Amino acid sequence: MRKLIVLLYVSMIFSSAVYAEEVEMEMDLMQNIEDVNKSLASNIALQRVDPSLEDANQLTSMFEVVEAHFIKKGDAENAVDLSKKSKKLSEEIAKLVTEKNFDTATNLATDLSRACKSCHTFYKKE
Amino acid sequence: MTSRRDFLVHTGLGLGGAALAGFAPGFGINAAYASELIDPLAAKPTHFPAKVKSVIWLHQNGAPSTLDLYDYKPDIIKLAGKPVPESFLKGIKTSTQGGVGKIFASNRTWKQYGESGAWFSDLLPNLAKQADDLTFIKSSMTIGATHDISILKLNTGDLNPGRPSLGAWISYALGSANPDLPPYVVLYNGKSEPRAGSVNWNSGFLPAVYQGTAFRPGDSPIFYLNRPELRGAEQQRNSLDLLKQLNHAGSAKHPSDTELKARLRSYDLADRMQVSAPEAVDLSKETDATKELYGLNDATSASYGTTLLRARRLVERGVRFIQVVTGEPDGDTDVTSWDAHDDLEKNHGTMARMVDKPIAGLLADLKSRGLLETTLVVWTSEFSRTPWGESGSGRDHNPWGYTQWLAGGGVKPGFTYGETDEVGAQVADKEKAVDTYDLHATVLQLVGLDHLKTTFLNSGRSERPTVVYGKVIKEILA
Repeated sequence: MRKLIVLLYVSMIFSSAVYAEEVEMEMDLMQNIEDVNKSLASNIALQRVDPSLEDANQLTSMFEVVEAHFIKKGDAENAVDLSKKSKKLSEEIAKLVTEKNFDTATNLATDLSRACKSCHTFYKKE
Repeated sequence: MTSRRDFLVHTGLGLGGAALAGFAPGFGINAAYASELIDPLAAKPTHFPAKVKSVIWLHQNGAPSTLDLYDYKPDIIKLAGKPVPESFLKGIKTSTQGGVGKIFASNRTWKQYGESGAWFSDLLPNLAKQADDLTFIKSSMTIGATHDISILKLNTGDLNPGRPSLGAWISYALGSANPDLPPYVVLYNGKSEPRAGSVNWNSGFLPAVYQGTAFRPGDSPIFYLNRPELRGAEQQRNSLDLLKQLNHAGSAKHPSDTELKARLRSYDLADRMQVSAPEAVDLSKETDATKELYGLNDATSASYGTTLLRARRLVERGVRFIQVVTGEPDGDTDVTSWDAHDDLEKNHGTMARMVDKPIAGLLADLKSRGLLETTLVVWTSEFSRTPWGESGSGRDHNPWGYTQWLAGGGVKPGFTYGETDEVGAQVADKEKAVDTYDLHATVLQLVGLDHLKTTFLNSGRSERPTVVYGKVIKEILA
């Protein structure tokens, strides 16, 4: 149910991103990213392919929204770069869990978490 | 004779209870070893060869200003009394209670020591002599909140209570090396228990048996451990033996109750500790030279020195994780922690004098006994202090860039990793920022544990000590 809500939420944000004059990024999205990221780390550790894949794909979608937000906002080059990096990491994790390469997926999921944290710690005021 | 009920309890139900408690086979360290089901503190294998057997976690409570101890910044002296240049504040939230004042220079003198040339202020003349044994992390950062919250993060990796402390994870993953002592002991000096209390050494969602055991200052380290004078030794032995039988019969009916198991185990341990714990902290057989080495001959450093000498004795007895929290010197003092929002000169003068000789003594003593290479000493704090002043004579909280250090087995001695900017406001190179999780991951690596594979199943979710973060600081490993 939580995942359905997240998907609906992302879809709504996407619609806004395409049609609205200004992309709004709300704290709820960030909280959802954090929740899905924790779920992903757990699912990879438990070597669950489908739930891991689902989490990774959700994250990819959500990072697209984050990237669009910072591009629209302007003067946030680092945040745009971190969003792109996070999106790429999510995509790579999706491939790795499909190949059942959980060790590498764990390492990349940790890199992904660090990228999120870097953005929050150093760029949240920008 | 084993009854049918006992058989079920000890086999199928026992395994089920253990699985319910998180010992899910097949993933990470929490595989269900048969010995673990009988004794949760049984010694367990590492993921790879350990560099150290014990960790001494020196928490400097209250957040010392590392700008006044290790991180020499000539620009602070040049800019003293002037506003902080905007460039140093970019990207950080400075909403701590004092706001941003003007750059504040304290009355320090600085010198380089050893072949490594590490800088030390005049506050740490004894520790400075150990410069070449230390591995500095000068790019530490954390989340700055209140002391209690950031201390919680320092010990558990989270800002909210409920996660296990680092020592609890190590106890869980490695078990005990000495059946007569807890694998995880907390020591402190001063009149009262450390601020924020036992939440900083609890086991969170891990079974309660892995929580830290606090040893109080004084001759009787644990409450009610000593036999009352009016009771004979044999009388007490008989009572305890009967109580033990009844307790274990009761526990067998509740195989998945880890709280009960932990309590019974602590009763058994308490029984054995009546002999082992007082002996472990009894300094009467230590020589006068050793006592002096730890600063026991000085009123300001005596209580902390006693604590560190006890820490060494616990290392000798196989205790895995010793968490030492700074308190206050004996006698009348209004300095109770490193929290110098004002009168930094008096505060840090007192606190540095309290810890300098004991910590230097601990390192020298461990080294001379051949224990430093199998022990990891970590000098750490919840955050540090700003380059700008507060109240005219103190410094505010700084979580954005500060110094911590390690010494002992598995780390490069006389080495410095990372740096802060020219005034010490924040980490200079964000790629080198070391957060609590990274420090925890590195400590776990040195005790032989992969932080990514040290896992516990809690309510269906696989949890690890570093939450979803953590990166071993490979650059500091020997």
